[in-house]
Formats: sequence, structure tokens, C-alpha cells
Amino acid sequence: MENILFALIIAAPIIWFGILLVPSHFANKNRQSLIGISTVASHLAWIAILFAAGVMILDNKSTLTIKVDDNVILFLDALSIIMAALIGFIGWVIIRYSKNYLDGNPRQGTFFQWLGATLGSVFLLVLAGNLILLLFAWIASSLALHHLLAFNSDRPAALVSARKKFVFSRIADLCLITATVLLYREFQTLDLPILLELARQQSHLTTSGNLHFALLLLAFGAMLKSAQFPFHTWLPDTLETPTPVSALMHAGIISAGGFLLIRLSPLMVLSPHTLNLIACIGACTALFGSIVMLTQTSIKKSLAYSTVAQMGYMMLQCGLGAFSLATLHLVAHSLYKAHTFLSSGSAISLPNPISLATGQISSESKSLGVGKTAAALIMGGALTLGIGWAFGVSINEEPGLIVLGAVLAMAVTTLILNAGLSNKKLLLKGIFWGSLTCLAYFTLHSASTQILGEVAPASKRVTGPFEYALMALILSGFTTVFFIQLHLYRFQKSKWAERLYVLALNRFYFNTIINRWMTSIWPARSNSAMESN
Amino acid sequence: MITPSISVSKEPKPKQTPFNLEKEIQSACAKIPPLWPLKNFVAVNPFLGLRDMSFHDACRLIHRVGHGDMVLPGDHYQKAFQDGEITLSDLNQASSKSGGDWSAPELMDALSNPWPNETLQLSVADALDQRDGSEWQSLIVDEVSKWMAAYYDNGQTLWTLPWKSMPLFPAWKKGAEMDRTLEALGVKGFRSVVKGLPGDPLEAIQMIIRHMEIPNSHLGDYFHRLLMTIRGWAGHVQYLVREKSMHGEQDSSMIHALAIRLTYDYALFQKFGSRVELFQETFTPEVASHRAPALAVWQDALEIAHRNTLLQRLKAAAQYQAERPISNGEKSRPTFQAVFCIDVRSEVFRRAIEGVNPQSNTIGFAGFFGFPIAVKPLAKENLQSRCPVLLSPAYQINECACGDDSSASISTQALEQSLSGKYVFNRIWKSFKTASITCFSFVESLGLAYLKPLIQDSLAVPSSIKGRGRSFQVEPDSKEQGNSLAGIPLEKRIALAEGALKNMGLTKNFSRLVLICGHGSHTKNNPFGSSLDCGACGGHAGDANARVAVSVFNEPAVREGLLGKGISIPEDTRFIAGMHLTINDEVELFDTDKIPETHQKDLAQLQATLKLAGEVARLERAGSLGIKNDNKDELKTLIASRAFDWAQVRPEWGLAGNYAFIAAPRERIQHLKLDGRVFLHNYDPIQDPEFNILELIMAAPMVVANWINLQYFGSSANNELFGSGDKVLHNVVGKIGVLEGNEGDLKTGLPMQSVHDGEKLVHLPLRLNVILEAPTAAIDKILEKHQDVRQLVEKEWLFLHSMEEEGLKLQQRQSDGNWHLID
Repeated sequence: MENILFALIIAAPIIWFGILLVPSHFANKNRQSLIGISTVASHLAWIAILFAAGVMILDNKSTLTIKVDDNVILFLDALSIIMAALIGFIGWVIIRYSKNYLDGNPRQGTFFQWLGATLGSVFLLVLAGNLILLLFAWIASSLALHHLLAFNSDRPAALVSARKKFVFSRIADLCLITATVLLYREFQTLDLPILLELARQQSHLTTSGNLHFALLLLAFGAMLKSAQFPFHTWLPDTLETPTPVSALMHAGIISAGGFLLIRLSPLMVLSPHTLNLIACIGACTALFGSIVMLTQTSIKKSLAYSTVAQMGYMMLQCGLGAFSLATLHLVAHSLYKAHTFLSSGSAISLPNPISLATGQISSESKSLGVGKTAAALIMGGALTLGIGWAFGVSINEEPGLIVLGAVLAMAVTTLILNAGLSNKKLLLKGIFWGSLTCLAYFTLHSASTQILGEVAPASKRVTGPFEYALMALILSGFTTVFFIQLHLYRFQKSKWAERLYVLALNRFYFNTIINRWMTSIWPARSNSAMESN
Repeated sequence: MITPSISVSKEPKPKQTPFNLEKEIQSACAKIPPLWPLKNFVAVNPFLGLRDMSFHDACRLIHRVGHGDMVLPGDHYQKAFQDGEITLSDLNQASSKSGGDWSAPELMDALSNPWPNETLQLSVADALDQRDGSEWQSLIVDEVSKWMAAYYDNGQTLWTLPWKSMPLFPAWKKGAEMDRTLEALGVKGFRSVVKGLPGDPLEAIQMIIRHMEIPNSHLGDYFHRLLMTIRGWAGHVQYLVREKSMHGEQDSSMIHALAIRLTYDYALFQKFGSRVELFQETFTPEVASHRAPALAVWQDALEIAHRNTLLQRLKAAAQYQAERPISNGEKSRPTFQAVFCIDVRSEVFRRAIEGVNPQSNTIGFAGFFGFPIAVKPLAKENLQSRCPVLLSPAYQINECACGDDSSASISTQALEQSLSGKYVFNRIWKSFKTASITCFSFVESLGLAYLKPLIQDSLAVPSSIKGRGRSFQVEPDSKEQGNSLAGIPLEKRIALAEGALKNMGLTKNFSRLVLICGHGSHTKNNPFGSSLDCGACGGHAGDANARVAVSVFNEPAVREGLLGKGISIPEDTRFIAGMHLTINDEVELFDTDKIPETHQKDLAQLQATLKLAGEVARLERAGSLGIKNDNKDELKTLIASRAFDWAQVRPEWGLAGNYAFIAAPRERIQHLKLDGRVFLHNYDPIQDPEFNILELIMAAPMVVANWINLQYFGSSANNELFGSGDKVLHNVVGKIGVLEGNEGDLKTGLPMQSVHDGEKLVHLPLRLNVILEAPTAAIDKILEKHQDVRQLVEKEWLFLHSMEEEGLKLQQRQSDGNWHLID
């Protein structure tokens, strides 16, 4: 059985990698058959995953390791199954989309070759049973993606952004390679199931300095890959690439960093300070990204900063030890962002959001007083607490939920306020959708805890006074932005708000500075052999 | 009859001022054509501002200030010559037309180096880039684009520019004074340069050019160059200026835009002043070459080749027609009449209808059917102007839920209320999705729900294509005081009906059923969707105009009024509105339930004909869409699926291929297969003794066709300069237009995918060949009267022909005013 499963699972990545071996002129000539083969592979991927899941459920096993000569090659559990299914699905969507979208492009075959290689390596990445394979897939995914990012190699901006990503990725690789070496020295194994089991038996009190360092490096690698502030700058500039590549990147590849942390969560909890750092950086990224997002005038740019923000939030969840929620966030964000990117051509017909500068829909709307804010806050808080309580959520078990729940309450409050400021009928509608959001939130929370609780136990995350102080700090950051956003219409003309606006519009100048630096060391006009595929 | 105010010329009136400078600025600004927003992407002539110069001169100017060509690259002509598409005789004709500037062998040699010794007009940024290999031009365009997008954003951002209420230049100045981007790029002191400028853009320009010591004689080209680098956003500004001037308002925003772009050049000049000799070299007196540009002569040759073929085919058709005995059936009452838009896509479908049902009769007329209306959709604030952009809509028509009875008007109100509630909540929900803080919980709680649309959209699940509107309230509503603007009063309805029927030549021999058929496209996830809609309806679908026209034509009071004007519509004639869906060649008929029992048989026949004609038309179009399938049912599904495919970048070919405009009686060209490349306007000179209709055709539909033709021309000849680039990189900005990739200027014109199939151009750039069945004297008289139209002809922005003696005599009007007989 194991052999069949193994063959079935690796069939898809083998096909995807296989088409890379076809000479590119041949691939471009026969692009229709190449597309057909890629599509078949994407179907194979989800069928294999479904089959594996079926086998595990029938055998009542929560994990499954597939070994070749005693070496663990693939490791299947709830996390890797969910992620692999997601990648198979997104892969199918992207392949199907690119078929017509790039129709007529004489290099469509080449495109599909690199698309296949990218999908294949990400698919292997989430199923890898040992750190060597994981590392290989990690690096391969980035190298293959590079060719997609530089697909329009006649566009200088495409090259600059692809190279920027290339540099950041190599630094991330270095972090990961070093961390792998250190982990091997610590545990004498690179097989994931053994590694994770050993980690589970340890306590954070006995963590050695080496291990702390290794976990810190892992965190850095993950943060680089998932575009965390201040290393995010490679992501928003990669729009010089066909829309489906953006969708793939924002829906799939960007999640690799988060996946790594969740995969290794039993290890990560051994270093509370690393997690604290992740939480801090995640929170900063979330707030930074979402503020910049508010000011961006083009659909894809604002989506890119939305991804930065969402990845930050996911990292924050990891840092707080809410690994199963982070997984949920990852998957939900993938589906949301894939659809939003692929349908970004419809941006013109979408409804306009309510301008923060006026804070209201029409001139007839009432302004926002303390009373209304308080009333909405009470409603939002009550809904969150009430529904959370009904689902039996315990703060003691998951202290991180203090922050996450508060964010939910603020979101529901905003919704109710905006609806209530228009008219009574809409207030009811706002409350209805607010409740539905809470309901969905806690349903999914308990479902994800149920499914992933074993993979990534939240309770192992140590929470002491320092952590509580940190959470208070993070929460105050979110609360500040919440209030600024609600009341921006009052002080948008004040000097500091104007300055903040110009900063946000300019993305705090990070991109300008780094691009200038990049073009000076690697001028866009010189084509290296690498990109001229 | 109505004579809508035609405002073809939008030359900004230069103010009486002693300063020469302001005039220079105005004239540079006037060279930038307006760019319509994507929600109603009207085709614009990209050379609109250059129409007072000849095509050849414009080519030279564009080369100088745009650093690119207005015509195809040289190798294209070379290949056309090798393939025999251009013959030596075509080339010789073109060279003799150029006044003997070129011999054919010289033209061959010129292909490899078409612009020897021509100097380009540089900006400071250009000069630095040429010298140092830097990227200043594109960096500055990014900067200007960033601020323009923030200023003009139309609903993308939540946090809008704080200075939006100020005029453009002062608003930008506020922001730029805090903007450290250029300093981060190495232009130290940028903010203080901006702070040092006067707040008035004209004064700022004055101050800057004084410092930069640009000779007066070169200011025009320099300004033009600067505006060409930001032609997209400048075009958007020009559009807004034009909209305001249609309402009689003045707006100087173009000068603001110029001042902004100039400031960036100035900042570079301040910083690198010592290094820009190259920039100053462009100001040395140029060796003015007045030789016709070689590539433009090649373009002439290409067009001569294609024009000759067309004219010969027309003559052959006339001969065939002349020798053919007229059967009795042709003069009897047609089974039905169908009025279609002049749009080139109608040609295929009309031919199909007449092929399927030879007793029927189709008519070509501008697709707004002479009803210049603005539609107010239910629960929306903004009016949609559904008439050619050369006109101002004269009447507001409200969408309603209505029939004729009074209970319906209440339900319209109720519907309006519920819709507006829905729209408001949609905006609240959109904010919930995209605001800071709330977006996190949104994704976590509801992100998984996107699984469903992802699957649906990937499978391109078809839903039915339905008409876009509900009914329309044509009569003014007497009950509602507040809305008294809406609707058309009876005497105006009669006048509009009279004008429309006379201009479309439908004044007698009415059939029992007359179809008034607008057209619209249906595409998904396509920012350029409106470019496939009806140009005569201002970049919207033509359903509203058709339905309004039909309800007026069917109204007994109107028919009574028409009797007094000499038009007698038989009692048994019913008009019916339809919309030709150009994506799949189906026709949706409206209000079929209102067709009386007596006409059910006629209706059934019409429906059957339309169905068959659709099959014929689809079969004809399938090849160009790359579909190799002649099973009619499968073909129908295959073509329809393009309408629902979110990844489809070439849903239909739109008006690609257009190259001629014919105004003549239908029978003249009825038996000619014109491949959907020709605008067809019905015109019978016998019914137009005063040539009023001819004048209207030449002043409006012909000009609209010329705009469309030149839009396609520019987008295919030089997509980089006049088109919007690669669709797969498009990034919708501010809900106004698209960027290509990360940043850069707003893109103008059509995407590459609209004119190119990946291997070859599907639209070959050819200036419009106009053929009017009218005597040369009448045409000359009209040209005399309409300066703008004459310019189009004499400056060779189109080629005008007169057709006489039932098509047997064709003459071309030369730019010197003489008529040249085509033999």
C-alpha cells in the first residue's frame, strides 16, 4: 500500500519536473500537449492526496510516513494533506487560467515548464518527510519561480524585481541550510517525524544555545520567504509578471514561510523568545502592510500590500502559538487571494469602499460620536465574547486568543458602525453579517483546533508575564490603528496625518531605496545568461 | 429635424494675452488627445491634437517628441513588399504622391535607417539617460503617475489624497513638498525646489523656463515632449477638461499637469545642470528636413494596395448589379426590416440575415438611432451618456421597473430603495474586506468561501447573457416634480422620430415588423470590455437607445405627429427592440410580450431568421477566433464560453480590421462580402436633395468611424506609444485605466491582444477609406462648411471617395481639392 501511495503522490511532481527536461523550442511548439500534461498532473495531485487521506482515515492513523530504505521521504499528517490539497487545487486553477490567458504567447510552452517546476517543488515542500528534501524543494521552488518572475525579460522592471527576490531568497536559503546543519548536530537526525517527536519530549527550559540559534535562523528564513517587514520589499514589485504568476505567488508560494514554522512548531515552541520576535515582526508587518494598502491606487499593488499584511497576521498567530489558526489563515488567504488576483480585471465594476476621509457614505450620514462608538464596541465585543463562550473557547488554553479575539471584535465593531451610520435597516444587516462572521470564525477555530491540534499544539506555547506584556503592546498597536482608521475623517488634514499619508503612499520609501541599491549592483540593462531562457 | 450641437472641434480658445508663453503651453496641451476612463472606453483618435497638420508632418513630429513611429516598423513593409502585398506600382504611386521626394530604390534603402539626421526633442531626463544610461525618465514617470493616480483616484483607495479638493498643481505641490522619493534616488534638495515654486502653475512654468534658458522657438516641442512622457495621465486630464467644456466650463488642469512634469525636469536640471549639454543641444537650430518620412511613404504604398483592391471590388459589384435584372420581389414589402449599428461587426450579421431571408431588409445607422440620451440607472447617481461623444446628451432617461400603469411607478420606487440599500451595503462590505484591522478577520472567517467562485470561474460556468437594463421611462413623469428633467416631451419625441427615420432612410415601405437592433458585448474580467460595446452609444451597450427609440416609434401620438411631417407608418407596423450580442452573434429581443397576437407569426419568423443568421455568422467568425469546428451546436457553445471565461484575453475581435466606411443604398454592396471590416451607413442621395443627411453623416458617423479607425491604427502600428501593451500585465489603477505591471504611466489605446493574435497583426493599420454615394459638388460644399472635416480629408487622416452612377463611377478627393477618377 505504501508503495502505491508513494508512486501516486510523487507522480504529479515527477510529471511537472519532467516537462522541464523538454527542450524549450519543442515545448513552445507543442504547447497544447504540454498544457494537457500539466493539467493531468494537477488532477493526479489532488487524487493522490484524497487517496492518502482516505487510507489514513480508514486505518485510523493521524500520521503516515513513507520510507525508502529506512529514510523518511514523505510525511503525511493533517497539515501536509491540507497544504498539498491546497496546492494541487491552486495549481489546477492557475494552469487552467494560464491556458487561455497566455494563449498566443510564443513562449507559452516555456511558461508552463517553469510553472510545472514551481508547482512540483511546492507540492514536495509541504509533503517532505526530511529536512534535506524540504530544503531542496524550498530552494527549487524559488529558482523555478525566478524564471516566471523574469518571464517578460524585456521589461527592466521585471528583471529588477526578480533579482531582488533572488537575493532575498538566497539569504533565506542560507539561513535554512545553516539551521539544518545545527538541527542535525542537536538531534542527530533530519527525519521530520523523529525530529518532531524528539522536540515534543523536550522542554523549553533545556533548550541549548545552538538550538535557539537554529530556530532563530529558521524564523528568519521563514520571514524572508513570507515577505515580513522589513524584508517585504521583494513582493509588491513582482507585478511585472503575468497575473496567474502573481496569483500563484500570493496564494501559494508566499505561504511557504508560514508553513515551515507550523510544520516545525513543536521545535519552535522550544524557543519562546524566537516566537516573541516572530509575533512582534508579524504584528508590525500586519499593521505596516495594511496601512500602506489603504493608500495604494492600483488594484494589484493594494492586493500585494494586503498579502504583506495578511502574512504578517499569520506570523503573529504563529508567534502567539496559535498555529492551527495560522494554518486556517494561510488556507483561507490562499483561496481569497487567488480569486481576487485572477479576477483583478473586474476591478472597475467593484463597489467603491467607503472613503476614510469622509468616514461616511453620503453627506446625509451622521458623524461618529463617542456614544455610537461605545455602543458599537459593546456590540462587537459582546458578539465576539458571547459566540466565543458558546463555543467553549478557553483563554487559559490559548492566551493568544486575547489579541486575536480583540481584533475580531474590532472588525465586527467597524462593520456595525459603518452599517449603522447609513440607516436602521442596514444596521440590522450589519449586525447580522457581524454575527455571521463571528460564528464562522469560531466554528472554523474549533474545527481547525480539532484537525490540527495534534500537529501544532497551542498549549505548548509558554506564556509568562513578559509574553502578556508583549501581547498588551501588540494589542495597543492594533487598537491605535483601529481608532485612527475610524476617526481619520476628523484629522486627515492635520500635519501628522498628512505626513503619514505621504509615507504610506510611498510605502515608507523601502522600495525606492532597495531598488536603487539593486540596480546599482545589478543593472537592469545587462541581461545575464540566467534569465535568457 | 434635429440638429444636435456638433462639437467636433475642441480647440481650447487661447485667451487674449500678451504672453507668448501661454499660447505655446496651450498649443502643446491641445496636442494631447483625451483618454476616456475604462468604464466607457470610447475610441479616441490618438492623433486628434495633430489633425491640423498633414499625416506626414505628424509622423515627423511624433518621431521628434514621442521618440517612436506613428506607422509600422520598417521590416513589416519590407516583408509586405517581398510577399507582394505591396507591389512596385503601389510603391511608385506612393513615391510620386510624396512629391518626388523619394524614388522606389531610395525607399528600399531607407527601410533600414528611416530617420537619418533627425534630431529628437529631449527632456532633461532623456538627456541624462542617454548620457549616463540612467533611468530618470521612467523614474519620473512613475512619480508623476503616482501623484496623478492619487489625485484622480475614483474609488480604489480607502485613504484618499488629503488635498483632493484643491486644484491639481497646488495639491501635488503639497504632497511633493513632503515626498522624499527623489531625494532617496539622489536628487538632493528636491523638496526645497518644490517649495521654492510659486503656487500658480503658469507662474511656476514661467519661472522654471527662465532658469533653464530654453529658447522660445523650442518651447512648443519641449512641452510637447514632456506631455508625451505622461500622455496617459495627461490624456485623462484632457478628458476631464473636455467633459467640463461640454458643459461650458473652463478648466486649466492641463497646464497643471505640464507644470508638474516640468518641475521634475527642473529638479534634475538643478542637480545635474552641468551634465545636460546634450539636452541643450536639442535646442540648436535644427536642419529642418521637409522630405516626407520614408516609413510614412511606405505606409501610403501599403494603403494604396489595399484601397485599390477595395475600390475594384466595389466597381465589380456595381457592374454585377447593373447587369442583373431586378426581380419584382425586391420592390415589394419586405418580411421585416432590421436597423443595425454602422459598426463593422454588423456587416457580417446583416449579410447573414439577408442570406437566410432574402425578402428581409437590413439598414445601417449609427447605433444610438438618433436618440441622444443620458441614462440614469436605478439607484445610481451618475448618468451614462449614451450617444456619440461628439454630441451632448439632450435628454435624461430613467431606468424603471415599469410598464405603463400607475402601480408600476410605486414598485419602481420600492425597487430603487431596495437597490440603493444593497449598493450601500456592498460598499460597507467592500470596506470590511479591504480596510486595515477588519481585513484580517474577514479572511479568516470568510476566506474559505472563495473556494466556490474559484471553481465556478475556472470552469467558466455559463450563465445566461441578459439585457443590461430594465425598462426605461420615456415620457416625462408629470407626477414627479423633482424629476421633471427626465423624459422626452411629446413634440420632441415626434421630432426625434422624424429625424431618426429620415436619416436612416426609412420613411416608406415599412414592413410589418421593424427591428431596431443595438449592440453590446459580454465579457468577463476584461478591463477593456467597454471598448467592445457601441461607440455610437458612448462606450455602452446600445440596448437603451434601441428600446427608447422603439417605444417612441410605436407610440400612436408620435405616429400621428409624423403624419404631419409626411411619414406615414402603417397601422400594422410594429417596432421591436433588440440587442446584437457581438460576442456570440445572438440577438436578444426586448419586450416580446408586448407584441400583439396579430404579429406573433412575424415575430416567430424574425426569431427563426435571427437564429439561423447567428449560426451563419458564427461559422464565418470561427476561423478568426482560432476555432476549427463546424458543428453548429458545438460552435455555439465554444463561442459563448468565451463570454464567461475570466482568462480570455481575446473574447472577440471587436472592430479589428476596420478600414472603410461606405454610405450608400444597401443594394449597392449587398452582394459583397466585406469580412466585417467596413462601417456601413444607409444613404440614398435621391431622398436627400438638400444633402442635409449627407452633411450629418460626414460630420458625425464618419468622424466617429475615423476615431475608431485611428485608435486601431495607432494601437497596431506602434502599441508602445499608442496602445496599452500586454493584457496579462495590466493593473487597473484608480478605476480609471490600466498600468502595465508595477508602475509607469496610465496606458492609452487598445491592448496588444486586441490587434494581434500572438503571431501576426490581426488589425493591419490602414487609414479609413470613405466612400459616399453623392456627387462631388455636394461633398465639396459640405467640406467647405466644416473646417474640421475638411482637415481630415486634406491632411490625409482619411481618404474620401465619391460614388456616382450607381457605383460605376468612383472618384477620390485629393488633398489639393481635385477629384481623381478611379479607373
